[in-house]
Formats: sequence, C-alpha cells, structure tokens
Amino acid sequence: MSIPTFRQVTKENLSVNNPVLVQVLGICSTLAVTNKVVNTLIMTVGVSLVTAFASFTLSWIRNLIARRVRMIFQVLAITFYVVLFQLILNAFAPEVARSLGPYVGLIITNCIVMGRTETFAPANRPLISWWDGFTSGIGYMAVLVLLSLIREPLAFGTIADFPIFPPQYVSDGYNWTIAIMAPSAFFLVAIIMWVFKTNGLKKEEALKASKSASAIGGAA
Amino acid sequence: MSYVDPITLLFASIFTSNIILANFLGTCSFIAISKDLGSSNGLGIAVIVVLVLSSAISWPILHYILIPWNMIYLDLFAYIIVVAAVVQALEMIIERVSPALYMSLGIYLPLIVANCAILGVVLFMEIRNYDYVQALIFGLGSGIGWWLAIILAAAMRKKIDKSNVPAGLKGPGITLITMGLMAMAFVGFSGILRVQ
Amino acid sequence: MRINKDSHVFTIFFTFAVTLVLVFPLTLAFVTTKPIADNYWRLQHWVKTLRSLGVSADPSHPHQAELAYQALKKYTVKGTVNYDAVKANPRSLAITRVNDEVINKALQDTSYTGNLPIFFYSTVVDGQKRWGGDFTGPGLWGNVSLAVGVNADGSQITGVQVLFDVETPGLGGRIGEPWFTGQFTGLETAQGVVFNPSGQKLPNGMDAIAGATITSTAVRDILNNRALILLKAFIAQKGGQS
Repeated sequence: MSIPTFRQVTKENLSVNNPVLVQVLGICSTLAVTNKVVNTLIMTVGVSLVTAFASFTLSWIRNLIARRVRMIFQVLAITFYVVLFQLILNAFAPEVARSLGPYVGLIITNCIVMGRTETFAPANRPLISWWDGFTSGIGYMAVLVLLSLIREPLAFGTIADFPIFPPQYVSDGYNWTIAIMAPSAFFLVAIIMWVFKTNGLKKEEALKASKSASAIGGAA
Repeated sequence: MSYVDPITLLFASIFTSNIILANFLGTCSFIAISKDLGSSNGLGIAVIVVLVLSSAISWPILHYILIPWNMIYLDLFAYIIVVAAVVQALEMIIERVSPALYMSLGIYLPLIVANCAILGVVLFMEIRNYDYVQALIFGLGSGIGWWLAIILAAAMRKKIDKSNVPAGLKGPGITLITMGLMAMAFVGFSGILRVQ
Repeated sequence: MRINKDSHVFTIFFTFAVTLVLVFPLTLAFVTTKPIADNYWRLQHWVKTLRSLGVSADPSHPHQAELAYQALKKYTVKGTVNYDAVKANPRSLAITRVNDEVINKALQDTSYTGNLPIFFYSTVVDGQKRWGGDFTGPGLWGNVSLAVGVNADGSQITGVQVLFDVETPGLGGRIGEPWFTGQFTGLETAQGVVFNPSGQKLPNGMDAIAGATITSTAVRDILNNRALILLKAFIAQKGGQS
C-alpha cells in the first residue's frame, strides 16, 4: 500500500469519500443537532478534534500494542478525549454544553471516530493520521452545516439566531415544523446524497464516454 | 421521582420512545445492516442481549461505585468498558458453547460496541434515575424496540429493492427516506403512553 | 519471561493499566474545572430562583444576586413526598427550614444530573408576599428542573424558570429560552395550566413548543402535578405566619 499524502487525504475526506454522504457514518448526531447552526458547529468541532487526537494516539502507539487489545485501547482513548472535551465545555461554555445535552457524550460512539481510528490510524504515521481524522471531521462538518443552513431558516426563520425572515414567519405559524424535527434530516441527507451521487455518476459516464471515444479514435 | 411501573415502561420503550425512531440512536449500523433480513435479525437479537447485560452491570457500578465515590464524571468511561467487556465475554462464551450460534451472531458482536443505542440506553438509565428493575426493563424494551425497527426496515428494503428507484438514490439514500417516514409514523405512538 | 500477548489475563491487565493511566489526567482536569462549572450552576440557580419570584436579578452581578438569594427564607421537605396525600391534605407535607450550606451541597451534587431536592422559598416583593420553589420531574431525555414562583394567595404564577434540562437541542431544549418561560408569568393556577387551543390565549394557557410535545407536556405536568400542589401545601402551612 502506498503512503498517502496530505493532499490525497484531504481530497478523499472532503469529497470523494465524504464520511456522511458516501460512507454513511455518524448519522445519529447528524439528525439531532442540525436544526441550529451554532449547535452544529460546536458539535462538529468536537467530533473533528476528538477524531484527530484519537487517530494521532492510536497511530503513535500502533506498534506497541497487541492486535487483540487494540479495540479496547481504541475505545478507551476515544472516551478519554470525549470526556476531556465535555469537561472543558462544561466549564468554559456551559450554555453550549446544556444546549447540546446528551449528544456530547455520544461522540464516543460516533462511527466516524470509530471508523478512522480503526482503518486509517493503525496503518499510518501519527501526523498524517491526525490530519486524516481532522479532515474527516471537516468533511462531516461541511455536510452538517449545509443541513443546518437549510433547516434553521425553515424551522425558526433565523441563521445562527440572526433573523432573516420577518418575525411573523414564526409567530403566525408559517414556519415548517417538520424542519425542526429529526425526520426532516433523514429526507435532507437523502436529497443531498442524491445530488452528490448523481453528479458522481455523470462524471463517471463522461469519463467512460471519453475513453471509449478515444479508443474508437485510436482504432480509426 | 415518580415511579413508572415496569409494564408501562416496557411498552413505552418499545413503541412510544423507541430508541432509534424517537431518539435516533444506533442509526449507523441500522443503515448498514438493514439491507439483509437475516443479518438484521441476528444483530437485533445481539443488541437485546448486550443491552440487558450492560444495563444489569452498569447500574450497580453507577450506584455503588461512581456515586458514593464522587466519580460521576467518569461515567462514560465506566460504561464503555462495561459494554466492551460484555461484548468480548459474550463472544467468548458463544464461541465455546454454540459454534453454530457464533457463526450466525458472532460477526455482529464487535459492531455493537460502536452502536450508540447501547451507550444511549445506559446514559438514560443514569440521567433518569431508574431503579434496578426499571433499568433492566428499559434495557430489554429498548433492545426489542431496536430489533423491531431494524426488522421492519429490512422487510421494507426487500420490497424497495424491486422498485424503480433513481440511480443516485439507490442504497443508503432511499433507506434514509424510508427511515424518515417510519420515524414520522412512530411519532403517532407518542400520544398513547408517555414515559420520560 | 515472555508475556503471552494473546491471553485473556493480559487483556484484562492491559485494560486496567490503560484505564488507570487515562483516568489520572481526567481526574486532574475534573478537579480544575469543577469549581468553574459549579460557580456557573450556583449563579444560574440564584438568578433563576429570584426571577421566578419576581425579583430582578442579573447574572453579570453575581454578588448582588448572592445577597438577594441569601435574604430569601428557605425550606425543604422531610423524607419523600406522596403527592396524592399532599393533594388530599396539604397539612400532611413535612416542611422544615434549611440553610444555604445544605443547598450549596445539593447543588454541587446535582450539577451533572439536575436531580435537585425540593426547596421552598418565601420573600416579600413590593409589600406583597411571594412563594416559590424548585421542582424536578422527568423530561424526554432526563430531568427537567423548574423554579416556580406564585403570588401571596397562590392564585397566580409570578414566574417560571428552567434550572436544568438535557432536552433535544433546538427542540425541547428551547424550554429555557425567555419567550417560553416568559409566557407563564401571570397565569391563573386554580384550574392548573393547560395548553392553549390554537389561535387562543386562555388565562391559564401555555403554548407548547412545536415539535417538542413530550418536553412541553413534561413542563406542564411538573407545574400541575408537583409545583402547584406542593406550593399550595407550603402556603397553607406557612401562609398564616407573617
């Protein structure tokens, strides 16, 4: 296996292999926290940092531990960073900690963290593993922030609590209650996935077409 | 705390506050596995067993170690160790006792550690101050609820596979939409019983 | 001696060792951040309790809030509460005075779970007696803790504040926002609080949060089935004294 470069890793995680759209990981929190932009940002920053440092740790220690206990160590290391993040949030941003409620603790079982520390970190050097974890988090953030940018205006008429629709939008009941609730995230993720995948399929077809065209050209 | 009787709690945790369709926990493995009915059944049963065992072990740890020793900030740590240990132990026992069962169930066990439904249920047990019986019943009910949801989804996906779905929406996309509709249907249950 | 890295003994030993190593820095982080988190929770508790009684309080002036909170008369209940018995006979509730230290200790113990014991407060605002208390009940995810205040004869709510909740972000979690808590001020208590029919405002009606029915119902139930019953008993017992 060739050693991946920073540029390759970035491209993989942000578009080609986006953790939410392509790998369908980390869906739990995608649904719950994306009805407010601010909550989404803080949650995804948490996921990015936890993934980055957990990957770093796992990669750093990869040659020291037996395969059998790696799983246990992986889970413990992730939990360590999540608890640390939670403690810091509780002390320095208590309002945010309250508004994210139970979801901070559930970063532990976010499949993105699990996935990156399971697949990438044990096979690569610490720094690139850190970068891989971090960019995976950013790829996750990009999709979630996009979701929240659609959901928050529809649900509350605001973006990051800054009103963009007149107050009558909410007070007279024109807002979309469905956009507040979690099922809307299922639908929106599906629609974004649809657009993303259709785009990918088109590109593939165009590539195939140009290849076969050149093949015919070569024959003639 | 008001006392919720076990029967109500059991039904509530299966239907009205279904762990996946009301609280959206455990969606990752749900989407990955629900494409096959047999595997869904296996994983669902494994989730039930692990949930009951982890609730049974976590409760005494919370009430006899973490709270008296003022170490409640380590709760996540303790729970994840319990879940991982239960999964490992179960894997070993099943392997020895019934190789046939291990073949059908064993491969799903490691997946469960990364299932947020398990950690979620154990956390619920803590923040809702359940007593021991309630914790066990809640673990059982949530497990059954998860199993039910994944079985239903797998059955529906079987049918969807034969339908004409746009190419870009095939696979996870249409599953998400199905789940969204299921979640909306389960919202209808929430008026019947109400438990936390 | 060579260690067999595949044995179960090694696995168990390894787990313990790693746990110990990781728990140490976490404990350090906890000990350093706990006072900051506790201060915040205590200040929130002072300010919100005062506001529910109709006393203005500002979290940016913690000292004033502390003095105002210390000036309240505080009570708690002895033993567990049987709500049905208290409803039938308000005199059956065992109420006793409590000091600030006990409350501070309780706050420290509950900054994580929000499972506050019941505290009652009485004070005088603009020559009018006010009664209030902290009441906790089940929400969708975990405990919801409310500070509730009523006027001299208990006929009107003077304020409701959310002390603690871990409800769904952006949905039930919005019960702490002023537009939600503000609607309770001035509601009549005799019939209990009900949800407003759409487009109407009843004298004892509250608006639910769209999409967060369970949390809204939880707030209503804590008010009707806990707060108002216990406050009635509190007034019945202490209202005679000046």
